[in-house]
Amino acid sequence: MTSDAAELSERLTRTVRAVPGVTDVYDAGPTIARMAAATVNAALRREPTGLVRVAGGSAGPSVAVHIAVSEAGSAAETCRHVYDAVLAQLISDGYPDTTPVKVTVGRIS
Amino acid sequence: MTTAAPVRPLENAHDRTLAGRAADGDVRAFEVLVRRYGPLMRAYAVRILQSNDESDDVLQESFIVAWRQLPDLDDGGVVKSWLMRIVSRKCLDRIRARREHVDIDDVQPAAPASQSPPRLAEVHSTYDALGVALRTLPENQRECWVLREIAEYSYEDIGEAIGVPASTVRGLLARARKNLIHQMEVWR
Amino acid sequence: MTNPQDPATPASDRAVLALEPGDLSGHTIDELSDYLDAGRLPANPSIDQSASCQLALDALARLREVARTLLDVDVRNAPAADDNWVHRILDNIGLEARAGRDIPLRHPAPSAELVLTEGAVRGIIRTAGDSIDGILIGRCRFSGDVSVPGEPISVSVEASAVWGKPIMAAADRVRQAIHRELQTHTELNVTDIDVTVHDIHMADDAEADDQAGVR
Repeated sequence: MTSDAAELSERLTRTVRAVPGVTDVYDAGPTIARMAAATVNAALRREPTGLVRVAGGSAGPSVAVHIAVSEAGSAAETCRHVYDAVLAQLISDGYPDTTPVKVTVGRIS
Repeated sequence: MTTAAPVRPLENAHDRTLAGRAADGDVRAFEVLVRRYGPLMRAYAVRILQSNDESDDVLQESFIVAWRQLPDLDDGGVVKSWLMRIVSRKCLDRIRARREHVDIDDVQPAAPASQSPPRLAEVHSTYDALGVALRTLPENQRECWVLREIAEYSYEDIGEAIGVPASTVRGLLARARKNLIHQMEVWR
Repeated sequence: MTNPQDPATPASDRAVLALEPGDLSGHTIDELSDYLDAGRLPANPSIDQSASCQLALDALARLREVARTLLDVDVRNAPAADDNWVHRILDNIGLEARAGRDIPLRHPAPSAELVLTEGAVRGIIRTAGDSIDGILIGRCRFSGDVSVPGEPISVSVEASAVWGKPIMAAADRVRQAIHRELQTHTELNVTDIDVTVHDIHMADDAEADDQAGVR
């Protein structure tokens, strides 16, 4: 990812973590990038921060989010709230509201 | 609001329940299967391979395969024999790999280099005697015998597994039995 | 004088059991093994009346008996291992949650893609079923294409029930609990929930306490 994309990824990750009902954020990036990041982070002993996948396209970025949510609410609702929060963040950063955003709930517990 | 299943019922759950949950992604259920059958699978690998280190490796490889293939197992109730088949295959792969490097003379008993000759004093029971006797068998006699008597393979399946006709299997088995009986009878 | 059958004869002096066809009235060890496997049926007088064959059969039977329980003894005699071997196995498996297919949620925006994984949904089905007293959920299967919004889906679960509790009532409660969970968390159009109890298990201490109202 470019540094812009990496920065955006970190911001979006914070945004997602803050949504009520989200219990965990998984790395939505491709495997090799994930492994490389894990190694670097392990070396620097820091929590992975850029877990939201931001892929650069000629028409602008596309975003992928992979989360675990709490059973206490509704997984569908929480998923929607995450989408809304991500889109709001993208818009406030100047990206179009047609930016493709995928939110995957991988675990409900 | 629902609560998570207590751990203890999982520990005592039926094989079929555990296999089903593990196939669906329940890691704790898989862990219970690992604890339940791992020791038996390892004991089996040690009997065939006569090596502790290789048995540890085979155990790990077997469970990696098991996790991957569990969703394809239709009848979770047979997961125990299914696991034993996997470890069997892995052991035989190792033995075939050994063969590619070493010529094993069937006539001569091949004592593994890492093991010293058995001493009288070490045999405390019939089981010990069998263990000692098994170690002295040539490898393919031992394989045939373990696959037949412990894994309960058919002659055809043994033949397929080690790459010889069923008639050869019978011959190896007969020799294995004679050798074992002779040694076991000495200890009686 | 040495006598192979006399227990007073030192083991080293007993004659080695004669196991060649010449010693076994023309029969082979292979034949005798088959005879043993078949439970000595149909009866073969030539074998049954040969003393040396009987000795050989006894020896084969003894060998088989030890073999049968060999692994169990091995497991019992194995030195007490710590837990590391289990952790090593689990660590090396790379346990993904078996995500399975994406199950979509509806959204008006075409650029939005909101999904739950099949693995996530199976998880809540298990939890829902497990929450019913005495029930442990096993395999869970979906019929119908869960990746198509609105598609009629039927859910089949296997379960193990505790002995002594009414099974039909428990299965009903499981059905209701699963239905509630799926309605709460997903947008699946669930038309059927099938619960098959395939095993009965004995209550363990925790379940017994639950039943007695201790907890």
